[in-house]
Amino acid sequence: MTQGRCPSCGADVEFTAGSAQVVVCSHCQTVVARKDADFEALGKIGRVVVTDSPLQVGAEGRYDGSAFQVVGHLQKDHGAGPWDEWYVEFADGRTGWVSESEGTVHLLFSGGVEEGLSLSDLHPGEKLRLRNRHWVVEERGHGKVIAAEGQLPSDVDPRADSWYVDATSSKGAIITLDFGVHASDPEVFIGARLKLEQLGIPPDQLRPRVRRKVDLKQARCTECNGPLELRAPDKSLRVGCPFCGALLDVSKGKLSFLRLLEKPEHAPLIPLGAKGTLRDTEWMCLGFLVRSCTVEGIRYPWEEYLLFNRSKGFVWLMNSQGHWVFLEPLAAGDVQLVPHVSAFFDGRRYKAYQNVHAVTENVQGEFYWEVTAGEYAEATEYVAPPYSINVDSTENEVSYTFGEYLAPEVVKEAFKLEAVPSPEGIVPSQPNPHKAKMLSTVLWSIGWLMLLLLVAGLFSATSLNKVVLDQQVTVPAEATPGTPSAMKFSEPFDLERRGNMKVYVAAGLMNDWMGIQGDLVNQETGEVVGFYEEVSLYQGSDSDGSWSEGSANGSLHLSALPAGKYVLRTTASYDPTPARVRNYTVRLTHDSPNGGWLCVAFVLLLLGPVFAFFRSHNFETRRWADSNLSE
Amino acid sequence: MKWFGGLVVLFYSAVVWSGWSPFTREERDRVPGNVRRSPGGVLLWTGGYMGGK
Repeated sequence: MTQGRCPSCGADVEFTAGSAQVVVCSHCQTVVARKDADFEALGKIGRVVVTDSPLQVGAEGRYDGSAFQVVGHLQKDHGAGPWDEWYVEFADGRTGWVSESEGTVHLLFSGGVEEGLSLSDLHPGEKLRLRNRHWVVEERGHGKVIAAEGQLPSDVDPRADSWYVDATSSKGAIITLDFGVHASDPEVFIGARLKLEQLGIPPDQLRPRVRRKVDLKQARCTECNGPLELRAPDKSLRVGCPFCGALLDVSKGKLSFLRLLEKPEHAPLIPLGAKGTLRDTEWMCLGFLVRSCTVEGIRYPWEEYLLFNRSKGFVWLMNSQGHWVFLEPLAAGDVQLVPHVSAFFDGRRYKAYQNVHAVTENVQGEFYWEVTAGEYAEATEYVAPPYSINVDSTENEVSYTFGEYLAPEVVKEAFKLEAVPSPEGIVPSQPNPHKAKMLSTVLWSIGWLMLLLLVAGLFSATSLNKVVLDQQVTVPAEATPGTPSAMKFSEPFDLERRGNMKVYVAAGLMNDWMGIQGDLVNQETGEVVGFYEEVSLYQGSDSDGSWSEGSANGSLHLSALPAGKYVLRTTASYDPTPARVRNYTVRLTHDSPNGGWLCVAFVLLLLGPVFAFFRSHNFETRRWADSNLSE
Repeated sequence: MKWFGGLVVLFYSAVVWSGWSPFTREERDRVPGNVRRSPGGVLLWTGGYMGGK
């Protein structure tokens, strides 16, 4: 520990952190550096303003098995209000920086200087290979240190406008490239996104969440004097007046008029201030945006509702044509992106759906960033219904959100709304309602097909399938076709039981035809079952080569015949010229399963899945019809 | 499909069990009286029945 007096005011100052090079005098805000045994005044710095951060100088915690203490505090201004960074020193000598943003903290350690990197080469959304990892640049910005307290590793210059680039990688990894006032060779800070609890700071060492800007809670619009009840004054940077459409700035601790906007066509479906429970978290509706894109001269508007929970941060509900999507922030580094083709996240592939220029048209309520009407962003959507990855990029920042489609009833129930509009058309991440049905249909069909095959197997196994007659018939040359002279009676044969009959007819043909009229006569009852089967076979050759038409055999099934003794009479018909001996065969197979019925049943069982597939496919076709990125 | 598939299997079972062949080119008839029987009961054909023609 090094103690001494402030060279400026004489107040006591002390260095407790071995890594600190300067300490800010708590009495006069002089930045005091230790130089050998003496203290030197380096100039004054602003006094920190109270923010909503729970951290404070002196707090002690434990991370990754090593104890640390918060020894310094910087307050920066990136153009959107104060931003806190806390300097921590570990018991093992390491030092790091902690920052907090919307319920998560970032702990970063210095990684030295990276040579060869240029600020002008790094743009939001671009990939970066650094320190054996892939990173995605999320933000490029600049800001000044406006205030400081405690001990710090180096001098702070409130005049210096420093440039930085933030990038993320998978598993919560984050990197900041501090370019300082130069445009090359940044100092690298690498770390991770954590929950506050992971820092191991006892609750009694955390500062209670104070409500800054309490005076803004019941503010009035500077334009119309309408009452503005700010619900998160400590978070909000912009307020859109619901009465007159004025857009007001909150970043300086008071409301100041920015510009007048057109009032939205209708009031928000979810009233500002309304509370609703989604995913086991109670959210309050803070803001309402109307955004749109214009494609081929047609404006496509949608609404976005900003929801807030003090411990979970901000999420969005998007309403487009009565369809709702719940959107959560996502680190760009967690997503593997093939721009305008596909995105991979959490083991799922998302297909690029659309890329549009989205413009913010109307603003109501409170917002945690400096929203401006007329603001353009390039919005790209990747879908794997019911999920989506949305990438919004501006010149200096890219933000990723993970979306999940919600049924309108879910939103209606969550916020106790009286009514929500009925969904129209199909939105990109809308789940295909026919897909589950198709899956169910296919599963049922497979089940029934298996049962069908089982039943068919049983019928086949229990059928007689017995040849009761195999008769070779010779028709003499002098016989007249179709007359008793071309007739043949079989020997009687028995049918043991009731069953159908398969008739097979084959004739010795060559460029000829023959018709067989058969009559199965029940010798006991006199009942007759007649049939006619004609076969023909023609062959030849021409300039295209040899050809063949027809077949010398054929078969047919007869309905069930009762058991009994039968005789088959066959009468042949044929072309009488030239007169010659003709031969044919008739074979009767009794109780032979009809494969035709199996085919019919098979086809009928396939009708369901085929219909379900086409219905599902039609839905997907209509979904992708509006895509400007699909092939 | 849950019920339709069951009906299909039921229909298949029924038609196979009954041996029904509605689309076959069969004709049902009875032999006429001029067909005589032998002493053993076997029909003796005289050519009077022409298979329905």
